Amino acid sequence: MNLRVLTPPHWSVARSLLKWSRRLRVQLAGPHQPVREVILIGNGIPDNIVAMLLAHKLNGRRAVGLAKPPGALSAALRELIFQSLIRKVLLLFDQEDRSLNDAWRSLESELCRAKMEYRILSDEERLRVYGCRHGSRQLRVIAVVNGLEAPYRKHTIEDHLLKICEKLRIYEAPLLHSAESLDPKELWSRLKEHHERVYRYILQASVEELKDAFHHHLKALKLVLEDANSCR
Amino acid sequence: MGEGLKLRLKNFRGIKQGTIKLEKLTILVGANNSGKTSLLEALFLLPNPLRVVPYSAEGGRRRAVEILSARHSTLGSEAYIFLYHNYSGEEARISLLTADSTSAEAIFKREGDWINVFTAGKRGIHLLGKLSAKSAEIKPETMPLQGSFDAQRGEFLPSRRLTVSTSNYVQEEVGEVLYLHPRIISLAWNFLLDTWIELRATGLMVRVAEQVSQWIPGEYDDVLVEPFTRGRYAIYLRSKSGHVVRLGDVGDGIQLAVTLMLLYEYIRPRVLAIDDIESHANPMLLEGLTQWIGEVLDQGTTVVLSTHSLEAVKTMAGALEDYEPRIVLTSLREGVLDTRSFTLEDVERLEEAGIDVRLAEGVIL
Repeated sequence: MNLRVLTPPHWSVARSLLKWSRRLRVQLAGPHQPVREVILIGNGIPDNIVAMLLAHKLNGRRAVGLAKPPGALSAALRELIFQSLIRKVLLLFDQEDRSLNDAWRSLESELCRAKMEYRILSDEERLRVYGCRHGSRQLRVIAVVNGLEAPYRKHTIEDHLLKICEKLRIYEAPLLHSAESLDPKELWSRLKEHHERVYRYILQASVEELKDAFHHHLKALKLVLEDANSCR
Repeated sequence: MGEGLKLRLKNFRGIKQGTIKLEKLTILVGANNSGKTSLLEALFLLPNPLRVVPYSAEGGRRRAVEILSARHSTLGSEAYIFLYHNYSGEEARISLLTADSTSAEAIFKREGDWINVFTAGKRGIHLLGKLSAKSAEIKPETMPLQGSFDAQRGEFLPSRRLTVSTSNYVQEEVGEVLYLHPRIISLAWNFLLDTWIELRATGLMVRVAEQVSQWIPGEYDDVLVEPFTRGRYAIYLRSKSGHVVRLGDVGDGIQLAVTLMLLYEYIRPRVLAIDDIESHANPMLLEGLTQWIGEVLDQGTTVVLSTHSLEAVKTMAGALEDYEPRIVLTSLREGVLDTRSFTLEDVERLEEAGIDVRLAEGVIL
């Protein structure tokens, strides 16, 4: 699938995506294709790059939107359900320093704030599918909590990128006791000169090869691609 | 032109078919080639495609349809078949609709190498003239024919030859439409040069110069026409210190603003249609233009704008919210126009979802 950036082009999330799509020669979708699924990212960069690269792995010409809500997720979901034809949302958000349960609770309270009735359709650790309803309108929210069981003080999309770094021997995973104070964002930022190599690897590796780093993300993207009727 | 009217196009320019609702202030946004300019040009032609407008193209051509032909010609390829969608079909129509009926129409009907141009309204239909489908030639009817269409034969049947022109009644109903696109401002300068004496008598140059002074550094007190070289004339802005600068030498945004204001003040149109309002405009000029458009709206003029700038959308719709502006996203799929109308609040709420209304075509339509 190809991403269609829906955020204003001058926002950093759109600018960086355009930069990397050009550098890595990943095609983005044109303006006229209908978009009925959207990826909402909670944290901007590099979540946007990861979304673009993984989406590109799944073949097909389907255009999928990518947006970064600047404010509350509840407001974003409410606008999507009322103003757009979007009926399936893939939500990628960081676990941060809270427990996985707390991350899910936080998401569910956003669904409540958006005044949506919801039920969990499937649940597997870091991937949940919610069937949401607001009056007669329905939305399927496929949510992935970014993070791996790595020994960092918080868990973010960078956990996954650092896993690739380990694989490429760019970086050696820290020992449990020494890593508890490490921030994966800082670590990833320090490896700036290797970013392109990591992105290229993600682009060129097979889906199978990426499963240990992006198992839930890939599964979620496949769910996005499933027939839109399945969300009704 | 009243509010709540609809403009319907059939086989015209980029639009095979489509309808758009016009409000007191309508701001068109959408992808390139999504029908915005076709809509504005249709408005421009609607009152009477063969009327003389405040532009002058090469060869002294001054009719509305000639100005559009000159604006779109590529390598001199002027022929009026450009008015038809995909340069084909028998008929193109621009219709203005009220809630219960059609109030005015401009109709282009092909007949061999010629295109008959009709204007139609509540008082019947008139043949205004013929446009060549193969060249820039026009044969206006000196005494427009009144008559009716024979639907079965697909022909215009003249009922009687009129001794006086009645073609302007549709124009009276619709009112004059002033269209401005950055690419035709040089054609407006030709017109301004031709009508300079008349224009000076109105005193509007001083007003325009004073207005411009608020938007750019320097205090200007007049707009003049004077020889430049070899007897060729130029339009100048004159500063209070007596220094003059050619209009063509000031920033492009100011050229557009000055030309727009001069034409508007001279024509006093009922509808103002501006393409790419933000082009070359620094935020300060955009703010000035917004205030000026507010004054235009105060005078009862309907304003239809197109822009690619979200900043322009927000500046204009926000500052002019008293006029209940509508922001209309346009989309063209295989020539079929689709639109969705938003308030500024809707646009800002969409942004909360991280979605830029200008990029929302596939998500919303």
